[in-house]
Amino acid sequence: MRAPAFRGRKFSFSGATNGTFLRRIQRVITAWRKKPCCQKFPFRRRTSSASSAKTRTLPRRRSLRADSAKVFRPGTGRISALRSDPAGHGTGWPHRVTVSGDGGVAGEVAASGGQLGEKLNTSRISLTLPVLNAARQVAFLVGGADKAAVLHEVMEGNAPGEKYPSKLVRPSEGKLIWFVDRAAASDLSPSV
Amino acid sequence: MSGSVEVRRLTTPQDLFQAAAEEVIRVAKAAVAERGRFTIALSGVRRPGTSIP
Repeated sequence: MRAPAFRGRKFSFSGATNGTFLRRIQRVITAWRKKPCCQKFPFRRRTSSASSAKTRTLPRRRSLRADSAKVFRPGTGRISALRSDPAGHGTGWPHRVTVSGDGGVAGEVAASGGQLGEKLNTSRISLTLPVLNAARQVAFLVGGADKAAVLHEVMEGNAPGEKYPSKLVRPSEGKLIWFVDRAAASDLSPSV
Repeated sequence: MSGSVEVRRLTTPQDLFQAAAEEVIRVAKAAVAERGRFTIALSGVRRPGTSIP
């Protein structure tokens, strides 16, 4: 096997010999190490002080562009599976549920760490009510005795939807299915 | 047009997840047969994930 053609040659950097070249490289590396992190990696996003360094801080709210919003016209989505938490919030992220909208044409996606997101060390995307109500089918899965009281309130109570946003999930041209187990349905009347 | 509401009562949580999974499969097959595409949005945490076929 032939030796590489450059073996034994002296490389120069601005006319310097190998030793000088290496010393210059070492100085560049040393200076780079002394730089603050944001200058070393200008492409890295700043991280939230409260969250882990692995968690990126995303924009608090990001509106869908017009060409994306058309995906959520009523009846165009296929199915959305939600969970109902003990407080009756459809998404489990109560501080981000949007209870107003323009009837389903415009959707909005919120992406942020949030209080619970930071607790779970994750970011999230919240679909708002206009988006959910544009689905062809929405399914709630409600299980456990701790859901009984709130399920009764959502299904048969008179509390406003602002208190229990699950009540506001009503696909305008789709189907809503509640899957409930015996424990969760223990407070419901037989007619429901 | 107003959508319909249906309540399905199941005995155990396992039955609940099974029923939900079967519904997802049914709707997915129907959507693919009809339009060649099926889209689904799942909420976070744990429960709906149990229903993923």
